[in-house]
Amino acid sequence: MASADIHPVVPLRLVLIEDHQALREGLELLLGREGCDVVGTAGTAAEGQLLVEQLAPDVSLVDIRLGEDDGIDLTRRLLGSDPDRRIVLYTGSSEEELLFSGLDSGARGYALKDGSPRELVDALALVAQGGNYVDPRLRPALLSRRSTERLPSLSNREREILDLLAQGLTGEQVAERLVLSAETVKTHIRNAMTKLEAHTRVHAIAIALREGYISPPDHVDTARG
Amino acid sequence: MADDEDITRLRHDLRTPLTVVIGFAELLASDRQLTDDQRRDYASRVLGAGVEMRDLIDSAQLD
Repeated sequence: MASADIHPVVPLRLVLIEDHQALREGLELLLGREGCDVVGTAGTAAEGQLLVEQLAPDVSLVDIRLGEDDGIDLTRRLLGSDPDRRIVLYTGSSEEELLFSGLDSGARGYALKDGSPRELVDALALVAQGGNYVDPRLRPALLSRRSTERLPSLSNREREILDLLAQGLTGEQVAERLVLSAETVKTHIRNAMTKLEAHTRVHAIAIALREGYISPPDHVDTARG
Repeated sequence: MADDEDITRLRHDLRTPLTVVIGFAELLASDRQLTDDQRRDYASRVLGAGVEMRDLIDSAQLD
């Protein structure tokens, strides 16, 4: 499978919420060098929530562990007040339960601290454009988890659409690729989410991968430059 | 004795300063345009993150 081309929104307006000061400052610098416009940074969930609400960034990068606060809870709050917000969770842990909890929160992206700045920018750009992203290093965790109950089968069209979403295409790009209306694609995605008992598109992709309905996509070249 | 949650937290906590080390070390290694002040600043960040990692490992109660 070919990966979707990533066309960065230039400049990508980003809010960065990370409690570790050195990493926060480092990311601000490194992501700025990669072409991001870091419009705000915060070290706590409360500060981060205010910044996101005030600045309406293209995408927010949220550390899962924010000291005493929880980045997943913050994500739920931010999406509770505006479901269209684009959030990438950022973590040093590849723990499976944390991954699924993060995906349940509605975040559209899930990136590991193992990745290079370029890889992180690609993930942020993808999510800012309406796509979904799960760090390729987490695919074994997605694939290893087995459901104890049988899920309803997906139709070929639903599989095809989830497969394209997993490659990073947005709903509109999927509609264009399959020569369908955007509304038809949305309906197929809704139906697939219902069948898979998923809360979000990225959650549906994760379950579809786990259950073997779709194959893991090839990832964009993430070699360090 | 460390339980799974402690190990998960330690893994996360270690990767945070490790990301700082790798990010700034890459900058130091690859960017020839850095000023002396920038080099000192970045090297200091690598050092600080390295010390933080050492302290985290020292304080972990791992069997």
